[in-house]
Amino acid sequence: MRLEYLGWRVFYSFLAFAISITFTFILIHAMPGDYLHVILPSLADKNPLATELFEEQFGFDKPLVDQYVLYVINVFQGNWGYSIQYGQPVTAVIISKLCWTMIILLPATLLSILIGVAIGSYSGWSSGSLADSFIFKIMIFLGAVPSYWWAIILILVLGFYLGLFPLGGYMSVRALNEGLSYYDVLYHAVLPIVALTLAMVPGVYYLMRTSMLQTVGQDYILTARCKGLGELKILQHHALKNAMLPMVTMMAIELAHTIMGSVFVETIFSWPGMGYLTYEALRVRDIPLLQGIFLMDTLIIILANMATDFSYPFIDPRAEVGKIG
Amino acid sequence: MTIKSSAMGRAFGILFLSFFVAASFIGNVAADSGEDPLVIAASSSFFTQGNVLSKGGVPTGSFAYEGLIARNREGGYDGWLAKSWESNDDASIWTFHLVDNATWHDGEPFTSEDVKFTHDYLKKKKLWLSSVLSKVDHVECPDENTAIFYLKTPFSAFLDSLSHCPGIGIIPKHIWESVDDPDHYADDKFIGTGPFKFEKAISEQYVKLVANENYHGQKPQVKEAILKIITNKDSQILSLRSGDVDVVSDISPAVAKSLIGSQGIDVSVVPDTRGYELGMQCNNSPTDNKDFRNAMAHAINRERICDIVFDGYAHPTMTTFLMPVVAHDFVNEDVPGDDYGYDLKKAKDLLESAGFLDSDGDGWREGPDKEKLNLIFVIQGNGADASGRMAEVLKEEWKQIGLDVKIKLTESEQYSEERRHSNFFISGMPYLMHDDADDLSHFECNSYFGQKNWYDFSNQRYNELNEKLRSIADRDERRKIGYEMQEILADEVPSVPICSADLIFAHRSDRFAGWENLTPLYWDVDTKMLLNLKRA
Repeated sequence: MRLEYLGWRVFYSFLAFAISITFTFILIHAMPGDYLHVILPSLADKNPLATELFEEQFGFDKPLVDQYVLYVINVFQGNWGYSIQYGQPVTAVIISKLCWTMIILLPATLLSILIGVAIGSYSGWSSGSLADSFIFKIMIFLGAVPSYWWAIILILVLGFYLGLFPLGGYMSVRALNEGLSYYDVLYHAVLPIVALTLAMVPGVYYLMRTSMLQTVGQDYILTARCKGLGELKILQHHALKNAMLPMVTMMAIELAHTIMGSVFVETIFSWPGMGYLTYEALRVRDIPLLQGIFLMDTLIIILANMATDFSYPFIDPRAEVGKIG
Repeated sequence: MTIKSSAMGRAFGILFLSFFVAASFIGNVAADSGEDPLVIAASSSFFTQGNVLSKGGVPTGSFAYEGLIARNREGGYDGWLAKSWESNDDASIWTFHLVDNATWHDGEPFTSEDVKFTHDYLKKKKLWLSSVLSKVDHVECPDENTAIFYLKTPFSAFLDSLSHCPGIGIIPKHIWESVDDPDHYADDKFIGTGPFKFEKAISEQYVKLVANENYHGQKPQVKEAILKIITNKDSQILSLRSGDVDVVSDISPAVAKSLIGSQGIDVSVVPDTRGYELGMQCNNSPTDNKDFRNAMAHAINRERICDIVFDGYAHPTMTTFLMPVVAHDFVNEDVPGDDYGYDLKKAKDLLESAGFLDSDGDGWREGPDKEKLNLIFVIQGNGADASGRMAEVLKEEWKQIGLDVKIKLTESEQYSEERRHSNFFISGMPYLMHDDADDLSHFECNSYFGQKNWYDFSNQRYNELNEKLRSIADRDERRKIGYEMQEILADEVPSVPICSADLIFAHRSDRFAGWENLTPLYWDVDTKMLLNLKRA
């Protein structure tokens, strides 16, 4: 990897971040409505003084350019502002929600990758077989069902009718007296994880199956067969490794997306993660919080992309990042 | 491959089984807890986010804080931290006599200094909530139990401002005087004077409140109340059915019907909590035509709306804006007579006499200028709520009189603007906006801060009466003025009453009793309701 390329990559990432900050700022400020009109529409409608004071209180009365300059300076100084709703630093609010999102989305992402890769590679390897056809149809069905439908069905069947799992939340009421229990959190996390995994598996499956189909036709697979290697060995040592390459990018992006959370699943399970936080911040027009959330999203996506780029030479020694031709 | 696959399958099977067993074990333990407290399903942990001043008043829903007075449904006010109050003749000086045995949750005594401090602090910090007190010049405390508000101008609706929408909660001076920056202050104690003390919270999950044994008023019989945050309404209902929560507020009529007959669950109704009207834009054609508006007043089948939209949980209303069940003698019973009666023939006749005819024979009426009518009915949201469904029913109804209406759905943030460019909209407001002559200011030309009203309605005499009403404290005088204002509204018809809808609660009757005669201020379980409850 060339140092020059590394420098340019970092520079472009910084540029992307700066552009994103600007766009985010413009888009968020272009949205109609404000916090006061959402929480107290009757007061805001009837009493413009309330709006005037509100804008003065949170600095929205300043010219937009001044707000932007101040915002950019603050962001680069590590001050992402205070949430109107929570009265806390935006970063503190985001980090606390991010932890809860990670508890369900990280296992769901990893599980979906594991299951998707396993089933996808098998399906691609045995392309055209009855099993492949069956799995493919199942995956089409799974892919067509939205995550919130799974969430509702899981709550109804496993939570309500069978009583095996809680109906939502991340802790049982006894936590108020006994404090946090990791088992309790895990127990509450099961259904959201299952719902998310079911919704995410088809995407991984399709990519892995396609990638495997391309690999199966390669000359080195034919060579391996000619050498008399067993099918399992060819799959494990030759096909899978090569078919996995496109998955690296997908895994990085999928993991980066986890921080955005899942609005529907989090809402249905009353799971206080990033998805629900974003939805709420958008609903009540908590502008500093919204800006912080989008900034964090951008930052993580950029970092994930950089990490993918830089990790390629380690995964596939043939790939040389930054070298053309 | 086959051997490996089956081994993997077995491993997955064992893992799944182990987890299933572990999960079932934890589930059993969890089910044993939470017998004593009253568990209330809440849609958000709004109460514990930030601090009390960032939330906009504390009418009755915070449980921990109190205001000076609270609005009741009998047309008056209940004492809260004030036991009595009076004003001078022109409603410019308001004196509150405070309860003498109230203490803050940390044991400090409550005094009139806290009332003065609340006013001064809001103004000093220029918090948006201080706009509620903008008419107050200063507050004086002649003794520990008296607070006198001196207003800049007479304001008869001052008690309304103090009590709701959003109202002013009193904050403790000894705590807040050290809070320099209230915008960036996340409270974690919530020290108030209310009947319940904040004990602890689990972020976005539970808020635990315990009864305040030193409460100055009626002491709560429920010793512990827990707000359980369940963001989805359907999940709240499932939690009620499974026994995880004891009460769910503001449920839909369809859900209420599905719960009737469920073991251990009762459905209670608070009648007439929301008033719905058909609003008309008086500046846009053809609703700028008074005769057209008059015709529309006869084209509303209220019974049908109550049945279809509210499943019977609503009652037709025929009085001009104010609702008799809460506004009592403020309602002028003599207006509008039968001018709002459902009569499509009369509506057609009125339209025809006003020049709205189907001149080209296509089945739809044109305007007096022979131009096609462009009727817009603007609805906030996705149209799935009561307003949207009412608009659909009315659209169908109005086809019979040759009017083709387009329903336009709009986001809440753009609704105010879209309303200005429409012809029809549904005005749905809590009963608190229909319970006093002061609420008629809703139709004043420029309201009292210079903004146009929702209807672009303007009537000089009406504005004069409203100005007069604002400066008179005497109830009889105010009632007379209100009567004349209602006569003008009935004549001009900027809006037509449709119905008043009920608020529906579902609760576990096998655990708690005292759900009768519920009168929450808004739509959630509030302090007043909690004080009535006891174990079944």
